[in-house]
Parts: sequence; structure tokens; C-alpha cells
Amino acid sequence: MERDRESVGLTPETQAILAELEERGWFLEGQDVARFCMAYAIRAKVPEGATGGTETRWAAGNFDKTGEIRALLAAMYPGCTTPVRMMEHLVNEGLRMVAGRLRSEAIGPAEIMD
Amino acid sequence: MLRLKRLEVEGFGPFAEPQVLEFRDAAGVTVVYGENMRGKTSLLNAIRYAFFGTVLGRGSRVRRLHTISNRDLASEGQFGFSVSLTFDYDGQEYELVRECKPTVKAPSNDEDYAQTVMLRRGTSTLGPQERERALQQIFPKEVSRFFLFDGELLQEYEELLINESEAGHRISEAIERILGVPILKRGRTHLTQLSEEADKHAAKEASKRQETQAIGTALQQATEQKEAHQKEIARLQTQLQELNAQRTEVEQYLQSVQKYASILHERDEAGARLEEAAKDERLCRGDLQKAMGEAWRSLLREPVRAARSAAQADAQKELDAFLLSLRAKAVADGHCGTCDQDVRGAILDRLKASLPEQAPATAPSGRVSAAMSRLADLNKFTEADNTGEIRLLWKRLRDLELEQVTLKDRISDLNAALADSDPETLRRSKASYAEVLEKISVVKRAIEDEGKKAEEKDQNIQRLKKKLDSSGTSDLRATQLRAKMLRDASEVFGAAVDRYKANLRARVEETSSKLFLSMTTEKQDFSGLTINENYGLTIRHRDGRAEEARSAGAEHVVALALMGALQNNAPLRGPIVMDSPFGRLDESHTANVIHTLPQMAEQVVLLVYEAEVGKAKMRDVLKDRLVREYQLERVSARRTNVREVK
Amino acid sequence: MGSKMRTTDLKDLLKTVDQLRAELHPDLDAKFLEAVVRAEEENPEDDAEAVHVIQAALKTALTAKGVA
Repeated sequence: MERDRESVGLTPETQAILAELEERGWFLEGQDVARFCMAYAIRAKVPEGATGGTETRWAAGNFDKTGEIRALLAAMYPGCTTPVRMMEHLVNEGLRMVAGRLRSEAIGPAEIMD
Repeated sequence: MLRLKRLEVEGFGPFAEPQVLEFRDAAGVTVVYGENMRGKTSLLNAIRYAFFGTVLGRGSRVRRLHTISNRDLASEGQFGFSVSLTFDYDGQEYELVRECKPTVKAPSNDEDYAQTVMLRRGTSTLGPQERERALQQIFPKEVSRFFLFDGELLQEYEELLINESEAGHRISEAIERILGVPILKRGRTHLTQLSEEADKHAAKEASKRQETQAIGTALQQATEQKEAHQKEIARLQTQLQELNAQRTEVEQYLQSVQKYASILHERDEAGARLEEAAKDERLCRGDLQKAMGEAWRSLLREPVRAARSAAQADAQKELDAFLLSLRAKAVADGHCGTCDQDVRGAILDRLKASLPEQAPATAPSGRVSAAMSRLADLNKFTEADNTGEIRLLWKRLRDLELEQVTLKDRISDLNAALADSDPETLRRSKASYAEVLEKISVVKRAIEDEGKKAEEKDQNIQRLKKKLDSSGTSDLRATQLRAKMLRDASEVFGAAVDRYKANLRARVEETSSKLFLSMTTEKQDFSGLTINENYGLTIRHRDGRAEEARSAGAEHVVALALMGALQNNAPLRGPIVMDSPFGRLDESHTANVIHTLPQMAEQVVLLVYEAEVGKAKMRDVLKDRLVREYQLERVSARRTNVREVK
Repeated sequence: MGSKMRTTDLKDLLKTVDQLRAELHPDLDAKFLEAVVRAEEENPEDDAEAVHVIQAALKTALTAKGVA
């Protein structure tokens, strides 16, 4: 079985996107942005996968303090054996998707959630 | 009464050569005709100059004497001018000569001139002090506006209607001056002063005598105490005067920068609102950030619910399959592993019938737990939906951002409008205005308190005086009688002020009404004029109502009626000299005014231009009350001669 | 100053003063009050002179009453 990751990292591209989103002032900290984008990706039914070329940003235990996210991913991606890697993939995909939307549409946080 | 006899001017205004006007010794109107710039106003100014040494220009501003010299003569290097006025006063003939001569070859301002004045009464020339006293008595400057006036000065009458205005107060005082009220007021003041001195003397004398020592001493003490209070009142009144002057100064400043005051107020309010909006924005943003921290749950709410439903369905399917497999095994084995009973006969047939054609062979293993395990994982997720909250917070944040942008723009515009002002000085002035008003209030209360104390002391003094009067010895009587006489006289004069003013106002009202009705063209509608405490006049309709809105022309006629009424009722009487007074009047009113002129004063000098009123009309209206006519004839643009019209 | 008395001009003023004398203090010397009016009328700007004339008139009035 493939070994799971222990941290959640970002690519250079998604790091820039994170900074861009933080700049808007909608979130208190980067983790909030990352969790939001990850949920956005899950809702969009992003399939199982992995993102390469990432640099560690947050420890998995810090990112998912209550273990809710790992449990959620185990339930929604039953075939996945590496939930933290999945978490990381969903964060990176989510960041790209949200940034794409915000760049093309002049919308606020409530509209993104619709 | 003052009556003009002869006016001679030389080098004054357009009158280069010596020019003479002789006024006949008969009651009536002398008319001087002249086009614009011919010298009508200069004649009025010549009389003013003779009496006061000043010349007025537009807006009643004092003109520089250097500008009065005839321009033609000045271009030839001849500067200076003189005015000689002969008049009768109180049965005596006077000659007043005032000259303005240059002290340098080419004068350029007033400092380059010297003025000389000579006043002859009968055959003797008065010394400087006596001359000034005489002139002050004959024709006081403060009341000259009621004798020498033009259309512009008539406008000042409107100030009377504004009670608290400085100008209105001055005019009101000037009217009382011409009516003789100061004679009584000054009499009261001097008699009071003398009576207090006499009382003090009487008290001192009484304290020296054994039989009246106690009362005398008590009286002295009470008088001293009362004086102390009066001194304090005088000090407070001086302070009040200073504070009022300060208040006026600040009021004038604030009035001049009124527009800035309101802009500054608006800017300060906008600034405060901006600060508030920024604070609200910070709080709102904080709330939004907090809400967005949990927003990932809202995003996953529906997916998780869907997954939960699916997991529940799966779990149910697996349970059903498991139960079927248990039934199939029981049929196959003929024995139920769950209740450990044999399955035979009808129960076996029923069980066989309930199985589908293709029954599962064995019980599924582990799969029930997969769906259940998914469900258990999904149930660990804490659901939330704060989309609505986020929507509201986001809208509020946008509104606050927009408000701030709008306010910043507004503040920028207001700052530009304030560029020429000094907001700091304005703010300080407003603060100092509030402060000075408070101080005025405090001082007024203190004056009132001191007044009450002085009044108490005075009552005590009166009681002691009565006692002294009845107990004094014969040698004290002279002192006491002197004091009593002065006291009584002071009281009489005090009461006379109010009575005289009331009588005067009634008479002025009656006379001005008569004159007004003679001059107005609305004799059917109006019944007369009503006077107020400040000598302001309102037009009265026949139905008793006051005419509120008055045209400039009506104001003119009312002011002329007041002038005439003052002339008729004042102890101080003299000629009226009017310069183009018909400016705002129509033909009918003009004719009525001319017709009424002889009723206003015994001697009237009218300076007009013929387009206002022609000679034929003047002669027709005035008839035998037209005593003489003069024409101001053009010699050149800068020279005028005076010719009698025969 | 020696100017002639202008009885006509001050007529109303004097009448008012005399009316109030009769109402308030009928035993007060009318001539004294008239002298005060004239003193003020002739010295509108000179307090000292006005007071001086009033004191002289007072002396006359007191003498007429047989008081020194």
C-alpha cells in the first residue's frame, strides 16, 4: 500500500493563488482559505488524484484537528487509501477552481458558495 | 431754530469760481436744478463741510479732502477750497467760514493741507472752545442725518426696524437726541449725583451732633455700603460692555465666515461618520472572516447529506441481502442458525416461497460493515449552514466600503471649498463665542444681584433719612433741605423721561401719519402710521392691520414722513436739505412729496435734476411756497456755475 | 454762553417736567427745575459746567426759601 503524506503542501502556482485570496480579506488565515477551497473541490466532485511538486505548508494534524476531514474523505472517496494526499490534491485543485471563478466573475464570497 | 441765509463755495467740487446761493427769509422751498455730476451733492456736502469739516461719499464713507479740490484748478496747480455759510440761530446772525489750504506746492494727500475755521456771532468772532461749543449746540453731528440727506441715507431708516442692530440703536439714540430726551436724562443723572453728595454731607453733619449721631452714623455706613454696590455695578457694566464688544466682534467674524462655518460643520460631521463607518467595516470584516472560517462546512452540507443518504441506502441493501442469505441457509440446512430451531413443514414452505429465484448462497461478509463504516464517518462531520449570514455580512461590508468612498469624496470637495478659510480660527471663534455668551450671562446675573443689594441698602437709607428729617435740629435743616430738594428733583426728572418719550412718540406718530397720508397715493386704503418704541413706523390699513411687505418706494415715503415729524416736534429745528430724494418714487408720489415739503420744515432746500421734476411741475405744485430757484450750469466737464432762475 | 432762552423750543419739555413736579412734589421750586433744563440744554457736552449751573440755581432756590 502506498504511504500517505503527513502534511498538506502547495505548488508555487497555488501558493500565489492562496496569497491572492488572502489579500481579499475574506478569511482570517491561510488554512481557512485552504479548507474552503478543498470543500469547493469536493462539492465539484473532483475525482481521486494527487498533486505533485508541492511544498509543505501545514501539518495534517493541524489542518484537520478534529479528524473530521479524514473521516469525510474516507466516506466520500472509499477507494482512497491515502486521505492526506487526497486532502492536499483537493486543496490545490480547489484553489485553482476558486481563483478561476473569481478572476472571470466579479462576485463575493456568498455567490461563490451558491 | 437754525435758518440758512447764504452759502458761498469756492474751489469746492465742480465750483471753481466763487458761487453764491442766497436763501430768502420766507418759509418755503428753494429748488436747485442740476443734471448728474453738476454739483448737487457737492452743495449738500459744502454745508456738511462747513459745520463738521467732513465730506461724505457713496455709502456714507468719509472722503479724503484732497479729492474735493476742483479738478480744473488742480490741473493748473491751484489746490484747496473754502465754504462760507451765513445763518440765523436763536435770533442771532452767525457766519461760519471753513477753509482747506495746501501747505505744500503739490499736495497729494490730506496731510498736505491745513484747515482753518472761523465763527462770527453778531460782530464778535468766537474763540476755538466757544466756537466748538456753539456749533455742537446749534447743529450736533449725531443728528445731522435728519437735516442733510440723500436717497442713500434714507435706506438707513430700515435699520431702525432691527432692534438689536448697532446701527438701529444709534439711529434711535439720534432721534432721542434731536427730540431733547438727553436733556432730561442728563438732568436726572446730574441731580442724582448731587443729591447723593448732599445726602452724604447731611449724614456726616448728623453724625457730628449728639442728638442725631446714631442715625447719622448708620446713614453714613449704609450710604458707603450702597456706594460699594454701585461701584461694583459700574465695574460689572464696564465688563459687560467689553464682553458685548467682544461678542459683536466674534459675531461679525462668524457672519463673514458663515458659509465656511457651515462647510466646516458638514466636513466635521462627514469626518465623524467616516470614522464610524471605518470602525463598522473593521467589525463587519472580522465577523465575515469568522464566518468564512466555518464556510467549508456549508459548502459540504449538501454533498455530505447526499453521501449519507447513499450510505444509508447501501447499508439497508446489505442488511436485506444478509437477512435473505440467513433465510436461504435455513431452508438449505433445515435449521435456523439464529434461533437454533429446526425448520420443517409449513414454515419451511413459507420460507422457500419468500426466497427469490436466485437466492444468495451464503451470508455476505464484511460488506455490511463498509456501508455502516461510511455512515459512521459521515456522521462525524458537524453540519452547518452559514450561507445566509455570509450573504448579509458581505452586503453590509460592500455598503460600508461604498459609504466610505462617498464620504471621502465629499470631504475632499469640502476641503477644497475651505481652502481659503482658516478652520482652526473658525473653531476657536465658535468656542470663544460660546464662552463669551456664558460670561455675559454670569455678569448680567451679578449685576442683577448687586442691583438688588443696592436697592435694599437704598430702602434702609430712605428709612434712616425719614427718621433724620423728623428728628434733625434747625441748623441741620439747611443741609437736609438741600439734599431733599435734589432728591425730589431727580425723581421728577426720572419720571419726566418716560412721560416725555411717551408724549413725543404719540406726537411723532400723529404728525408722521398726517404727512404720510399727504404723500401717499393710497389715501383710501391707509389710515396712517403706527410707531414702536424704537421709532420704527408701520403703515396701518383702514381695517387696523399693519402693512407687512413694503416696497422701497413705500419705505421712502415713510422715512420722509418721519423726518418731517421729527422736525415738527423737536426742540432742535433747522432746514431740511434734500439731494435727489425722488429716486424710487413714481410721478404721483413725487408730486405729493413736493406738495408736502413745506409742512416738514420752515426752510427746505431741494436739489433735483429736471428729469425727476421739471420747473413747470415744481412751480405748479408749490405755487407761492416756492421761494427761489437756482440752476447749476455746465461751463465744462469740471466746472459749474450757479445761476438764479428768475 | 449767554444765548437767549428759546422758550418756544423747550416748551414741551418744560411742560412735562412741570406736570410731574405738580404730581410728585408740588412744593418743589418750579424755577429751579426750569434752570436745570436750561443748564443741560446749553451744555450738552460739558458735565462740569452743567453741574456748576445747577448748583448755582439750587443756591438761589434755597435762598428764596430763607435757607442759607
